[in-house]
Amino acid sequence: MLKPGLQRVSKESPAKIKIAQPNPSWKTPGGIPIRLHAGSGLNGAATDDVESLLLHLEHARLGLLQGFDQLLCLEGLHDVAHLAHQIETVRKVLRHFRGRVLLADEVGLGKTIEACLLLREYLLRGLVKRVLILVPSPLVSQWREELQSKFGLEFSVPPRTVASDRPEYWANTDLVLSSLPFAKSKRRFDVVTAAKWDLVIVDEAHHCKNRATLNWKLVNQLKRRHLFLLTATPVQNNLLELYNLLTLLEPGHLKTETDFKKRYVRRGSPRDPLNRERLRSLLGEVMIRNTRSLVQMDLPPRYAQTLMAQPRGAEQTLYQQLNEYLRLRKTPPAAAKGKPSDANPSDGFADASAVEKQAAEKTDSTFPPLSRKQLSTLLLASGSHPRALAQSLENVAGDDIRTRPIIELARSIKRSAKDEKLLELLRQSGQDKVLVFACFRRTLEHLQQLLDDAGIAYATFSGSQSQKQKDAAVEAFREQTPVLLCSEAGGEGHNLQFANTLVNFDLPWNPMKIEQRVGRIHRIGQTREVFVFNLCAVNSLEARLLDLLTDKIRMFELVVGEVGSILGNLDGGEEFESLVLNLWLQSHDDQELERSFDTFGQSLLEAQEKYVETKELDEALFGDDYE
Amino acid sequence: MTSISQELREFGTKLLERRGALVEWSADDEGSAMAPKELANLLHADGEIIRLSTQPGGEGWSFSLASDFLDTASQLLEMEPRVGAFRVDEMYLKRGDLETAVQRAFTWLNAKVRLLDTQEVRIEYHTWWFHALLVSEDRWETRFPISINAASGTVVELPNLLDLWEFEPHPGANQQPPATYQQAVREAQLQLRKMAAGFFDRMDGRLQRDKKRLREYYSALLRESHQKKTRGRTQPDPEKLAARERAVKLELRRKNNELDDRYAIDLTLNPIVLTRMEIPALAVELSVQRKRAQKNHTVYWNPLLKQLEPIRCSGCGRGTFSVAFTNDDVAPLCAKCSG
Repeated sequence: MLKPGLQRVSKESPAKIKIAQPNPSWKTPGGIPIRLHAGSGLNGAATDDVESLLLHLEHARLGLLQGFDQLLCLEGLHDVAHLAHQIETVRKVLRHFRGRVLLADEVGLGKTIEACLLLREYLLRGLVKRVLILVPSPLVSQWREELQSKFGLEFSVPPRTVASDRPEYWANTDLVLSSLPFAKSKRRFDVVTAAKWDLVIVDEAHHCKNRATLNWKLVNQLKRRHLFLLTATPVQNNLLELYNLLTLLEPGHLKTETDFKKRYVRRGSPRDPLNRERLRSLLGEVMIRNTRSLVQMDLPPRYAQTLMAQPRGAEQTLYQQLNEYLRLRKTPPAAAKGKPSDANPSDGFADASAVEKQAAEKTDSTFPPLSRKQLSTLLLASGSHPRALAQSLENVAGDDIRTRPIIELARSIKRSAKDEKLLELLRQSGQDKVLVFACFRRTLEHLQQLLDDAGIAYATFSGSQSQKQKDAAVEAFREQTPVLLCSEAGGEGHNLQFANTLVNFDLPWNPMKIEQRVGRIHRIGQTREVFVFNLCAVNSLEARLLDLLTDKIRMFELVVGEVGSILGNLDGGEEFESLVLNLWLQSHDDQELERSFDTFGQSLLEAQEKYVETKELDEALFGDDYE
Repeated sequence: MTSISQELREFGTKLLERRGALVEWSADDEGSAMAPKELANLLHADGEIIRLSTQPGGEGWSFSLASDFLDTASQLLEMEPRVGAFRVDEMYLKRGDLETAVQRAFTWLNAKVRLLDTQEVRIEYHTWWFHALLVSEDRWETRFPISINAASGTVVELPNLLDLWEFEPHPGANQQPPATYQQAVREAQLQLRKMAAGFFDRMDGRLQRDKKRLREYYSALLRESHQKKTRGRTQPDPEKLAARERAVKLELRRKNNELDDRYAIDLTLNPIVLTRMEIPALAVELSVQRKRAQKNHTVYWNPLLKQLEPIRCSGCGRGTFSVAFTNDDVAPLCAKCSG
């Protein structure tokens, strides 16, 4: 019905105006052809009921949600950068992985963010209700804080009371965040595994790489629909670790262990896969790995410098006495007895002969050789600090009276050469925040005293602290103190990018652990150049190790993740720490040790060359398939 | 209850009620519907009562994205019409100085234009809602509207007409099949270029990356084959080497073709609904003098936009405010088409 005076324009344009036809084929800017398939339009009588149309539109909108093209999780986030590779990963997991995935991004690319985005998406869509997150103990508070502040998710951390031992807690709490050790403990293992979970997330999932461990057994026995495993290092030592992780995700995906070994593991070279193409294809179904090269994540440069400290006086004597002693105890006493040259008299240390004399007084059966574990602990402690050495020696061989003078000597040393270097460094660092890593608790305690005496403010983060103390330490470091003294426990998972200087007061023998330390500050969010200072005593094992890592494979210039690949090429496939210990065990004096390290350095060089060669092929073979 | 669960519940409830069911929710995530027999059969219910749930895997009909809820809903929607006709009886129409408004809105590049007359008219606007799905090595989809002035064929960016509070049913509407569809598809293509730019860039990037990977892999193979000949005690047959090289290059070409096929993009564009909304507008008749030729053209003052709509370019079909005219038939052209 027209209003009076109004004219209906009924002639529709197409009758008179030429209409340009849709282009059936056009191209993307990069030249990919786009073929158009357009529906035939809509005919039929028109309705005057708007509800019909609205229902169709709503149906289409909901269909988009189902297709995961519109992510719900991105709305309402706080302080989370929307990085393209993370969003792509979320979409891919939602679409193709059906909630079972190994997120294996390189360190620092944001696996945790990806997992939390996925978790939020699943929760918002109502696809999951009951979620269990398992993380290493030191990360519980960080996870809880991030879930709450960034993703608006409130998770319950099991109380450290008897309530957590009861099945009701695990059955009735929908969102639980627990440390893996807490959940797997004898009192809780059964109640945790009895509850049903829609989704389980395991952070630092390489802790579940071994089927014989309780970690693996716990995750394996959890009743869950979906599972996210997060690790930057799915393969550290051999391909079976990958097999074990993937078996948690999709049992049978790689068939049986025997079958897997037969098909994919080269005999004598457990990191080198056979049938790459097939394995690659299988992995691509369950694993996503973003690499820096893939996501073009350019971090600021990092620079490493080794600061050599020259032990003098009592400290020098200490290391030499220890050396003598450990060489006596490294082999069966009978063999040691027949090898007086082990204790080199030409060194001219009076106590060396005393050690030999005392050793000779002992019967063979009294002091059997130290185990590899004991030896490596003592060698690592000596590389850390005399205080750590004194304590370790007391623990490992305190009953051997020959250790008494060594322990006393170690305790008498108030300041080591490395202490002086550290103080010098901290005084020069000005306003920069400095993270100081040390493996041993005694070393940390000593460093606390050292900084107290020097009037340098610091916070301490160590594995022995409660979660609250750890959080307070990170907060104090962020807001007040220029220095954070950090044990190995603090090296995993914490975001400390506001600092840009790191001091390795001592060095783990495993380069992967060193890489993890550096990764704490050299990661997304770091905007400044990063400086790494390695402290070690002249002629120490650590000095030789650093020499290898920096000069031979230029470890500190490598992209995170590459060092593992290089080390994987070493013959024998043994763990790096084990190789270092072997070098020490096989040599009888410093000259021999130097020669052994030279030979080892040559192997490393060859491994690197092999890596560079295979990398070219790998990139061609694997490329970014796990994106 | 999440917002998605809530939305699914509301949608499902409306859908069932339109098909004659009585729906009752006893809890946030549980309910039931008493449905006519036909509907109950369609939903494979045993009796008239259909149990409802918002949990995936819940009993009865599960209103969840993790279930086949949307597939079932689309069956129920098949009977719902997709074309709607509505009208707005009255809207504010500009009464003031339209001549100045025309001068301000348009730039006439090569003609003299003068306003002849203005007239209140009723114009039908067609809003086509499309669902676009792009499928390549990955997929991307969206939903968006294209509105067209059915009288001029000009694409106009209108607010969502179904959000207007003034509109009413229009039972006496023009029932002729809409002739704006081709124009709408063409415009949809143009808009998708922008909307899906990120997707296109991703596909371009991935294709380049994969091709680079292939190139490097096959280059490595070629290098290896050359290295092999120096290691052997005797030189390998040069013909064999050349044949191997040819085979590798052929394989690379084949793999590249496979990649091209895999990344080729198929765009499926389907109309979801069409609204034909008749609203009052002002038709402004213009006299255009181009050299010796003269022609009248009409532009429209749109009460929803509260401004003049662009003129449709006779070359590319897009609306323009910067207009040139052809010499002979004084047809409007945008700056791009006239240049």
